[in-house]
Amino acid sequence: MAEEMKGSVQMGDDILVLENITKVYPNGFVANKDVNLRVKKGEIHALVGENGAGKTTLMKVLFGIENAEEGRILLRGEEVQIKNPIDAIHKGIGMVHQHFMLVPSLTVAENMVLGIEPKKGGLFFDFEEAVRITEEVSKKYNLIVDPRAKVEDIPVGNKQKVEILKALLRGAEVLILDEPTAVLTPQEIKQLFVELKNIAKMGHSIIFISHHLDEVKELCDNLTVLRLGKTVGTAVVADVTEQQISKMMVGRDVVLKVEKTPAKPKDVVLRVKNLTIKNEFGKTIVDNVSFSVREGEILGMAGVEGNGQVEISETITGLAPLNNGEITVNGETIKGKSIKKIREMQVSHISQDRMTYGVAADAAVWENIVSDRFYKKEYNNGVLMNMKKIHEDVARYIKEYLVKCDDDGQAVRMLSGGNIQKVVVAREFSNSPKLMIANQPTRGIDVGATEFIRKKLVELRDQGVAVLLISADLNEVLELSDSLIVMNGGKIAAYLPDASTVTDELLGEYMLGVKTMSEEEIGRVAL
Amino acid sequence: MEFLASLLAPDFFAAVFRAFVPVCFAALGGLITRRAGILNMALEAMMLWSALLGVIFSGYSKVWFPDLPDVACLLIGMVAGILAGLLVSSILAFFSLKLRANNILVGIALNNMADGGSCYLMFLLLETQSNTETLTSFQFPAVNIPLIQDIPVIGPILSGHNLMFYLAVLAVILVYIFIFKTPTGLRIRAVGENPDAAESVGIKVLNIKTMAVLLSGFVTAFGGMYFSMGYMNFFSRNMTAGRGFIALAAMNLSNANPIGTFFASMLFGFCDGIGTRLSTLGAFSTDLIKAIPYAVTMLALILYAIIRARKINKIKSAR
Repeated sequence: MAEEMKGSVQMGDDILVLENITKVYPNGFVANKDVNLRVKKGEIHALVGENGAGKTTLMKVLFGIENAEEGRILLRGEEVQIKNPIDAIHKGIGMVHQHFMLVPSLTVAENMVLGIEPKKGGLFFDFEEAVRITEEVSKKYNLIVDPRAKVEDIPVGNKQKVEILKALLRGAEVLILDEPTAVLTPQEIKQLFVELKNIAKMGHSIIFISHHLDEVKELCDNLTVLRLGKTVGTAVVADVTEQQISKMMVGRDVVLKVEKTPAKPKDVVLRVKNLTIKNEFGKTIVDNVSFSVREGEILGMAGVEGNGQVEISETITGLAPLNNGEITVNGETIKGKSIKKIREMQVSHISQDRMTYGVAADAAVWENIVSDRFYKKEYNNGVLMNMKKIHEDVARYIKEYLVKCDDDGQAVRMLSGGNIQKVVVAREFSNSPKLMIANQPTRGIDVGATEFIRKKLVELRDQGVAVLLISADLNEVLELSDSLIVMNGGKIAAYLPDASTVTDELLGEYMLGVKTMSEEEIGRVAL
Repeated sequence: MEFLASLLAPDFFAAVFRAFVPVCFAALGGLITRRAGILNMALEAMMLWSALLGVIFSGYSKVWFPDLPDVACLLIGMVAGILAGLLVSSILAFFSLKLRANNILVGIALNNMADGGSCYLMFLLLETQSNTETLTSFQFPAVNIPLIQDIPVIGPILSGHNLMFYLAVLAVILVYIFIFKTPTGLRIRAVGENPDAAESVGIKVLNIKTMAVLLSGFVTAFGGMYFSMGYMNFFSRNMTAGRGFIALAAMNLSNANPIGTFFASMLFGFCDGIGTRLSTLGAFSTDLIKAIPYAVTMLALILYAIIRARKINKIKSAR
């Protein structure tokens, strides 16, 4: 068999063992403490844990980006030292990063062989040979890519294939995938899983890092759970339920079901009428969309990402100009108003792009929290900031919103993803909003923070705030919303007045455009 | 009419090519670093020092070793000129790559230092601040190409130019092959566009960048030497007169493509040639005429930006 590799590791034997790995960062933070991980040949092994649980650090140690203080790594039964990523690659460990390590203007084949270029005449790069190599490995693993296409021209799913192929070409027996599904559409995820299972069948081992327990259930054979830098358990995936996994991750039962009473909607706050948005190149992204959100209700906007949701939220909040259509908040138009003016109309915004629009990453926690209100009289006397008042208020918010930070002067960049989002939430929730635009409010953050933010959104609703919840997370949008609209191709595909009766299947059909409602059916929400 | 007819004369082409040569070399130098992701602001400095040191070493080698044949003196000057280019580029590499200073600021500092420093060195050696005419220097020879020189019309246009002109054309081809057809060129492009990607497959990014900067100094040195050892046979203060920046513009106009860089440099040469022609008519202020190539460069850059923006729009809207 062609898969007879170095050493005598058979299918099902341990190919990689990480033993008692301890990693202490120079600032004293213990990211990994006695962590153990066993990966068998030919298995897909899930590595799960909340943000900040130490998954990334462990993988950095394995891939040679960080050196562990204690512990050892056994590869094919032999202890190895992994000095740097190149060393890791030579030893048969490959990593597919969250941000692709590809050169956009080069072809797929050129990206594939970068660093190990085939030559002709001893001097020149042999492009045809690079194409041949790419086709060969592409066929072998049934990951079909066009070797001659430029990387910048191919879809995200194919870029990921190129990344996986790159690692395989360099002899990766252990493949680390860091949240690979985050950038993919549901269809691409399905395809990826088929491909990964095939790769595992061929004798490669895959370490799959994910936040999505349903993906772990579907794809993985075994799983290891990390919590607060320690291994809390391993299990055969088939033997545990999602609830049990999440219990291991956070050490308690996560109430992924949000407790909420029926909504008591009152007057319309946000009214969007005949909104059409074209992008800078004239392509219609949002096509004649009308809807309204009332006081005391959460209107969910479901849909596969990229169907106009971002453009709608950016237009409502003033990040993008309103050119065609009407948007009013409590009867007052937002047309021509600056972001600041719109915010002063008590519109809050949780952006889907946390690091760009949510926070200033290098600024302190307190600076981020007061960034929308520092100019107001209560925070300054016209010349100097009222630092006492600021720190008092910020201290209260940090407590109320459970932001884990050393002090309010810490740079936001230093916090974990969930805590960064809590900083955003603290600011956006504490400025007494009447309208909350929450776009992917819990994306990529840990279960605990997710639960907290979801609860807060319901609280806000109960206080009479109008909430527009935009999310690609089906669970979230179904759990939280009172009523739902579904976006497809820049249009509203459906209005579902009672979210609690909606099934995943039905929602999926509207999201993927299998079904579409007529304008009469959409009814109330568009009036 | 007489004016237009004079534009077809071989000596007009000679004027165009004279202006073309240094811009072409420097633009190729800038092209290599830009492909590696570095904007090379020190082209001017590289050329100035190469121009001065080339003259000084070729001139003094004759003074100190009168028995040396002229060709040897020329070669000594050439080696010195190349070393000067490499020296300036290694300073640029050291500060901007090793110490991570801003490469634009380092470039500006090197340019200012080159202007004053070259003048100072000239004064130390020759006690004059204007030029090195008192020192007998050697020039690269003009080359007559057999067969081609005998072709009517084209022959006199293509043949008989300074050796450096032909080297410049050769350099365009060599740089093209280097960037697009060799593994090292591929690595340079990868490093310039996504250093993390290059690093992740084991390419030593700093080494590639350093090599690109040094190579840039090597190529640009020829542009500098053309001023003092090709077109002229002496060095005069600030004789590059901003050609390093024109070269940057020419390189950018072509989006760092060697073939495009060739034509952009030729365009500059053409404008310079026209200017020279116009000044012989005596109808315009010479200062105004001198500004023509620079103004055309500006216009070309604007035009290029507009065309590119339209192209991007087209591509994106087609998706």
